[in-house]
Amino acid sequence: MNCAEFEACLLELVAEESHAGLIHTEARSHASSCSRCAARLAEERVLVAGLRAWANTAQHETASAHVEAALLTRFRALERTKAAVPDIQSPNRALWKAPRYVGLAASILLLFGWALIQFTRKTDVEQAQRQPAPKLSASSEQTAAAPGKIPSLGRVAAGVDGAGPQSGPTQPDGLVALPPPERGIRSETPRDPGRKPARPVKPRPPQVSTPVTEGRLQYAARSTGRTERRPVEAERTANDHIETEFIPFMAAGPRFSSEQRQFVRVKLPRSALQVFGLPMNMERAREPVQADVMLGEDGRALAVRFVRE
Amino acid sequence: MIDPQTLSDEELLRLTRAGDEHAFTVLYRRHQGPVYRFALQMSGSQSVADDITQEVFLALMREFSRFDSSRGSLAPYLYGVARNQVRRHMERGKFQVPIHDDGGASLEPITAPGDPLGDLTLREGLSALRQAILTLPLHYREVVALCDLEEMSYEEAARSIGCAVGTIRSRLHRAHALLIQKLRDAKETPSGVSRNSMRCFK
Repeated sequence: MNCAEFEACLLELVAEESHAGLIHTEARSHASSCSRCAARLAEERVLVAGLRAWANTAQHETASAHVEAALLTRFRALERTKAAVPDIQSPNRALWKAPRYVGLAASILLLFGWALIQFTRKTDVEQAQRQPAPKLSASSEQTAAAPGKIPSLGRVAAGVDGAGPQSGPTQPDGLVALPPPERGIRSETPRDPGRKPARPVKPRPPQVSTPVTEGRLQYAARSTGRTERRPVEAERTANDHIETEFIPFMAAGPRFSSEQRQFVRVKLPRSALQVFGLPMNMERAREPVQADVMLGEDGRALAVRFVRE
Repeated sequence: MIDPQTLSDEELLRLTRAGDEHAFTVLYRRHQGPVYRFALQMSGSQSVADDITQEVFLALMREFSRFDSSRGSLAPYLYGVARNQVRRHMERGKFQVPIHDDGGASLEPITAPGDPLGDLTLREGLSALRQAILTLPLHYREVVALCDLEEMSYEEAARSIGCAVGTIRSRLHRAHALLIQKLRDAKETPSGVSRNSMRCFK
């Protein structure tokens, strides 16, 4: 053992706590041969003896009696405070502390909500099946403007191939400037007689929102009623047909409700959503968005709605 | 009827939390001595030690939930709180506290063979030792107070201070070396230590 090793085990050596007998013996033999380490050992012994002496004299020292008295006074005050404050919410808290109650209540609510959704969808399908299919003819290209008799253009146009643009709407002064359509303006055209008849769709009046300036635009996401298909949930979500309400252009004015209308399916840059104050997904900024433009008799654009199929 | 004296700290805490004043008294009397002595050895002042003891048990009374019995017994927890209180007192910047000159008034001499530092177990020797401890840096002083004076094991001291056992060991070793050096210096200038009855602890 050298001096450094001796120094390392000095505390244990003096405290006589070391159970490693070999080290103990080696340290003692080193101290007997090294005068410096022997002196260090002696000093350490004196120090430890002094510390123990002090510890013995101090072991009966305690805090003053007034500390205990002050603490007990404080303890009683705290207990009085606890008793004075009524625990109003304790019954509810006790109830809701039990996680099983919370879990049970949540399960019941989820089950009830799911059953309600299923029942509502089933009812819609049954009602749609009872109604006759709408007659789509060439004359339906220009549809009467009577509310309640205009079929949902989102659905009608969705099944029609793009037949080329109709007479392009010339936008008069004062209209909201829409970005130009990118490609394939789709308009309502009669179905090919050779094709399968269209699925019965519940007729729906065009829903017109208040002008943009009133700041009351809302997204109206509606289910398309494709309940005969029962795809998996993710697929169904992806296929959901979402369309906004018709957003009138400012210049449409009072003629909006009395004119005959045409509807043109166009694709617009996604930034058009922002023009109408609608939220835009920046991650899909490069993808176009579909829109139905409502045209008046003179070809003026009256309103627009955005469609996601 | 169960005697509260026989109950464990955890049971006494549970009773105290439920408002049992007697349980709190038993708990206080069981632990106040070590806490007070630690505070006294750290601060050198009885009034500061009283204040710190009171603060420690007030903290326990206010926040019983902070003590987690799964992490250790109550004593190291109380030492930890006391240590924080001592540091807080020091940070307030006072610490010009009187050192007790009557610390070894009733001491009986203990023989120390081959004594190179003088007889530390005599009255004057103990007084010098006490003053030398109070001049140690805080992190050395606390390990001396815990391990040497309260005879705590290294593991318990490490839990109280919140460091590794090896750190306790090395600090204690260094603290002893410093103490020996200070006592040797004090012996060379006999009136050097006791001349200053006021000492900065920081």
